[in-house]
Amino acid sequence: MARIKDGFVLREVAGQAVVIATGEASEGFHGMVKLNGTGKRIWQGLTEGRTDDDIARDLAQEYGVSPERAAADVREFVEQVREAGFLAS
Amino acid sequence: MRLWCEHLGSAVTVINGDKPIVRVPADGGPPIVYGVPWAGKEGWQTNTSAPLAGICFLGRSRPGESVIRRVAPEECVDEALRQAYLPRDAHAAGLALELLDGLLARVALFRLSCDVSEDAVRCSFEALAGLSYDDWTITA
Repeated sequence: MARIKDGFVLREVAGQAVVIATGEASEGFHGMVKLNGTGKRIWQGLTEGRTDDDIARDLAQEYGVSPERAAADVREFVEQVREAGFLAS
Repeated sequence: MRLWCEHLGSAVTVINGDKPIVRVPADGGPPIVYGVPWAGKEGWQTNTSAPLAGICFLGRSRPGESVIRRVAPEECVDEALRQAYLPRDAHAAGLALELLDGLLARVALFRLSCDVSEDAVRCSFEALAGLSYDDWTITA
């Protein structure tokens, strides 16, 4: 189950979901990531330790998309944050 | 800042030339900017405070093309974050981001493309102070 590393902080700034790295996480990542609405929901789910299936189910409900589409979005996002080094090993 | 001091003289007080402290009151009042001893290589700092009336992000323009415009908070998140000191502690960093969100919502925001001339002083002064540069005189 994918989980975001400790030290990443998500907040809304001027209506944009912004993620920055603090502590040990900042040694591997400098800068800022902006997430769209879907990305923010997936990120929050990963931070809370929820399964990809649960996150996809909530996304499908909230955005009115098919479960397959939501699952694909979650898979793609998880792969992106994994490549960026944001996931706990 | 150097140009403002040069052309506006004693009317200018540099509270801090690097990174002042900004307080964002919980009661929704105007943010206050404070001088601090850490002032950058020029050493510009004054032990004073003032209500923060606006924030102006600076860029370079070609000669004769100084221009200033009002911007919305969402247009300057990146620049504001680059200028803000964010603590290493995650909880404190979260609070700092919340303060930044409050700050951007409460002050007038501008972007100045500046050609490092008196014209840049004129256009920034008129936009930020709301006064006519040519009609305004320095009072002791």
